[in-house]
Amino acid sequence: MYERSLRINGEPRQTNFQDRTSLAHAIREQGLTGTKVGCEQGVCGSCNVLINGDVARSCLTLAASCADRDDIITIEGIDGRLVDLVRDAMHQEHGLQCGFCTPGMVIAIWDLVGRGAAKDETSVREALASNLCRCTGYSGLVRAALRVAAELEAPSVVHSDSTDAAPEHQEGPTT
Amino acid sequence: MEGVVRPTNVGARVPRLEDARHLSGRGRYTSDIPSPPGTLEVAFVRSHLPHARVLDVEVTSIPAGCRILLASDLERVVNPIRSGSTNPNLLVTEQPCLAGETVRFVGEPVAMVLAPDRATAEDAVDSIRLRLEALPVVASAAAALADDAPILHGGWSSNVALQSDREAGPFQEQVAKATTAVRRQFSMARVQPFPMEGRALLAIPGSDAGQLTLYASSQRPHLLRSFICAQVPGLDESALRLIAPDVGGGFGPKGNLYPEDLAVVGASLLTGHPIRWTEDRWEHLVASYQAREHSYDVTAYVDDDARVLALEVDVVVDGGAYSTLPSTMAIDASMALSVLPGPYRIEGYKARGRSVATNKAALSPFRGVGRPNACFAMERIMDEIAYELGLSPLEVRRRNMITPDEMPYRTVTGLIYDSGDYAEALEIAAQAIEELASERMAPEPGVLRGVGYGCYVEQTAHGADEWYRRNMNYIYGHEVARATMNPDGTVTLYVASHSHGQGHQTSFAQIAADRLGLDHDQVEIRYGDTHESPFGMGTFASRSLVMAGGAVHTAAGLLADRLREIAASWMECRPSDVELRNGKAETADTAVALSEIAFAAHLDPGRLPEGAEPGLDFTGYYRPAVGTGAFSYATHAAHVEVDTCTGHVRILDLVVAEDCGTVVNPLIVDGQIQGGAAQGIGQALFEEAGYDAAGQPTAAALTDYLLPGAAEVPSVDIHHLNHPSPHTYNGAKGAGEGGTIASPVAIANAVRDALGSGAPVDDLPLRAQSLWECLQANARLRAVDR
Amino acid sequence: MRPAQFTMCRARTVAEAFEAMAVDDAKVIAGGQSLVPMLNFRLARPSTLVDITGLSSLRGVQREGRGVRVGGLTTHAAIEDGAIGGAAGVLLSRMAASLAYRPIRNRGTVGGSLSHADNRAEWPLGMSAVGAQARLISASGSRAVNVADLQLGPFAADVRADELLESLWLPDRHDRVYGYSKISAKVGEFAEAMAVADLGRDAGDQFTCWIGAPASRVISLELPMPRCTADSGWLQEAARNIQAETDPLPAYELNLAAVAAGRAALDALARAGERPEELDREGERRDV
Repeated sequence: MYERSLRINGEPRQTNFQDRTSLAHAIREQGLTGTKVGCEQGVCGSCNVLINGDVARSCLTLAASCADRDDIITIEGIDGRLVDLVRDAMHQEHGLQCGFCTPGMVIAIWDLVGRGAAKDETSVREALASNLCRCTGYSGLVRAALRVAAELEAPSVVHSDSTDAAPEHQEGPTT
Repeated sequence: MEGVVRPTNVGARVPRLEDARHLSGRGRYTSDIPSPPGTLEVAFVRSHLPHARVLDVEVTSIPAGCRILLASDLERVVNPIRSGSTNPNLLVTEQPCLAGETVRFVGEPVAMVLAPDRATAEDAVDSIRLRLEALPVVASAAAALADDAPILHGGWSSNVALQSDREAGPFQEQVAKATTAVRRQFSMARVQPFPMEGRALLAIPGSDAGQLTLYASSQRPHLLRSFICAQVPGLDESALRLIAPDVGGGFGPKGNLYPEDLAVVGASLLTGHPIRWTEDRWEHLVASYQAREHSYDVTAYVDDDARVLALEVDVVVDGGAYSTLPSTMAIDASMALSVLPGPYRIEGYKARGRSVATNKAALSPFRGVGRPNACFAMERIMDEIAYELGLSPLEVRRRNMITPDEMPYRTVTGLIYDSGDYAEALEIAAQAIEELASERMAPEPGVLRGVGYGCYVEQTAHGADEWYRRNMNYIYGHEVARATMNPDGTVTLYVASHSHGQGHQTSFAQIAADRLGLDHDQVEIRYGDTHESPFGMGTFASRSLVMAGGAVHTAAGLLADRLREIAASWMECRPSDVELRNGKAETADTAVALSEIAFAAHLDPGRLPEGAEPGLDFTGYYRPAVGTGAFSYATHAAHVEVDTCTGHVRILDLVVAEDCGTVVNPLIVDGQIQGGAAQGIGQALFEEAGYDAAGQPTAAALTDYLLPGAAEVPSVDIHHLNHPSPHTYNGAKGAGEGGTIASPVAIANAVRDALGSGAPVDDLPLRAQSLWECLQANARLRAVDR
Repeated sequence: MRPAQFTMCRARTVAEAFEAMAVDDAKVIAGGQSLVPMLNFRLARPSTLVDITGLSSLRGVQREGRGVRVGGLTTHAAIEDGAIGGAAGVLLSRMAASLAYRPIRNRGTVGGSLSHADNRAEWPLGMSAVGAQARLISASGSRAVNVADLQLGPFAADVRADELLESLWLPDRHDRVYGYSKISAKVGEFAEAMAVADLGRDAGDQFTCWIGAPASRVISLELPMPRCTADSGWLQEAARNIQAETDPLPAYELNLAAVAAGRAALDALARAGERPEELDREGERRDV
């Protein structure tokens, strides 16, 4: 165990972790407990974070691989209009119950809408295969993703380096 | 102004108050609670054999800073779990929190390592060798019942924990009148309830000797405290503060006591350190409580009009190695035998239920508890009756359903159905599924489609009567709430019914707000801490909205009464002339702010009327006037397609037509139905917590245990009927479990409809390979016919 | 579920990687999407992990000769998003889109997947079908192996412990039309059966079929075109032909292989209608 720097939510943090420590656990040890550890085998998606802007499983990423190199954004750090829309849509559409899968879902939906992958219900459902939810039966999540895509009106929104990927001219939620 | 319906209160489809913290990652689950200094983390040494004598726990060298606790250590402070009931015939298992002599399933904890961090604890577990002497394995219920089966528990004469035989109604006479007997065998695989958050514990010794705070991912904090204190001599309920913070899903198993709960408490008492254990997913899949493994042999005795005159059933439940506390391994069979007749008028009944011990993880109640199994057997046989007699499955159901004018209806098993129109649900579901099916384009070549139905009646929110009837040691007859108006006029309600997805913070607030003339977001609902709320039962058995909601209704009503009394004394009118509205107490011509009353009640007592009690704190209890339950019901209808080339099943449409009486928040109720149906789809098509013939679990990773995802679960077309229960305060009936009950059988029946006779749909999950083999065999038959 | 102890070496140069790989029980990690679960379950217990994601020479996609060179560190997501041009790129993009889930695809690499050699995974099949050649490098030199020969069996690749899969070279095949079919228990799962159909230069009554799972290693064979997806006579004949090329398979698995083969062929046929403008334009645009 020795000290290395992990850049989380825009802030370099001097942290102690072992070579074997997963990014998920390293993040949580920083008190950023919004990143959930659900399966540690890459299936459930509760530990989704952004690494250099791309959604990734923090349970399948070693913190040592990210140290002094990567930009990590967690549920606590993701911001911008698009994620606001995602959160509001998940709230309005009852896309969460117990809340444990929710941070990973917020990031997954932010990613799939932002990539323009929310073309229709089928594409949303196939993309959301990346995350397990045991409470909602997914319909509220699917509606939420489609709602955000409709609110953006544009068929495709390309991520910039910033997590704020929604185009400037778009309006916020209408409800 | 009576009858003003507030837009956000009872009946309103409002989004939930609890969402914001989860959406921003601020939910606090047990593993998110910071570790106090000195915390030791636990890794368990678990048995790799399903049945063995423990010879030795060989410890050669372990990492520095680690400590190992064995059964002999824990025995000093914790008693083994003996889960029984008031039924003297139920054999009791003795489950130690660490196995010292015998292990009975793969994954059973034998020793625990305490280390400064989890990874180091796992290193130590790696270095420990369990010396086990293998014993003969009972790997299935059938093996457990064999004449020469090894007997798993000392003092037992067989592996049957409880056999119950009952004959009810004029069974023999009814059988004699029947013209057809339809007999089939059915089974459902063992599954994992699989909350997204596994179990998690953090025990923190108090600053005073003998005190302990335990954070636990539990559905029932007060009862878990009682269960633990009953096992730990010297630990008083007053000294144990149990906090269930945010809980990442429960579904039943988290209402039980686990050996790991006791091990963690024991380790903290023995060492004086804070102790943390967070179950990992491997542990969850092998050692958490599992569910649903039943098999049925059913005979329906039918007359020429397709009326089911009598039913004969033999149910075997594979209970796993131990009886969970408090439910015992008998609960599933008892439930199944009780609910099997469903919505049908069946007068003769003969049933045998056996709950048997095997070398598997213990079975627990899981959302639906035995009902999905019983419903599967009953609704499959209804279809088989239809095919046998050349009628439609709908018609057979119509002819047998209990009608509204028969309510209250006493079933042959002794349940007293209170309300409802079962045929109405059936017709609504049938119409809806036909419409959905007709909107679809014709299938591709090589695809077969079918429609299937499942109907059930579900006893919910039952009071003491029912729990006594079930011979439970603990009687969950009531629920409690404490309503406090703070000096500034804000309202806090403390309830014992935990919420782990059900949205109590919203729906209970809606109920209280209506009583107090507030909007729902002006009421705060708190739960999960035994030091905050009065003793209550927690969340299970589709009871919270009725029982805890009733308590909220009562407590908020008491508070409202006091507010009206004080206001009336100031306004010189009768309390009944005062209405609480928009944060004020009003009469036709005057008004006073509730905050002013609140301030006076707490901090300006001279303004209170002569002789009035100070303070605004009211504890309300709710106990339904009739304890036999409010009966929800539904028809689920599935429209599926089968790929004849692969045997894969796809669910095209799923309809639920249900009646849970008065709906407080339709958004939440629909979410419960959708989520329950998803679990039913898992049961029908994907999930299987299997064990091989040697007793090894075959699904210890998510590569082998498949859960349905967004692409496999359609949005359910939900229809609500509204026949309020006459027995509950607001006419509501429970809605939490229903989604799981009939969805599996509706899917199986739809596949049967698609494939025709011989379709292998009597055992869940359906297997693509079996369906394909059936299709191949049918194709060969057709070829021969030609 | 925490991994056993290991030492992490983040190689900055290929030479540094080779040096670290020389340690007993060292293991190379790129995206880690298959390896880390095995570490978490303690099914893999390397002494040293050699992280090669910092090696720039293993990155990038560029033209080379009459083809394209794809760095071993190219992620599945990059391929999904069209990093590789031409008819092969279109096929590989579609295959990538069916590989697990986007968060996995963002990290997992084509070189890692081929070295891991799961017979149910996409790349042994896809890269074989497009005629890719792998370049393996070690301290003692480099060698080229056709991907079709690289996979020896489930989780066994012809990649020595001292070698890295540096890159792949894919020949230009603008005149090809590929079809693809994957059969899995649910979306995102590994394949139960998977096939690529190559119609060749001009769609005739035969096609070349490449089959991955359930075969233990990728096979190829010529099959007649099926008439429709549920052509039972064709399926039985195809199953017999497939069986002749692979280890004995249970009837159901063999059937799934035949179904995937037939669907891949029909998929290709449907796409052939879109040729030539679509694909040529695609190829041109990507290849510039």
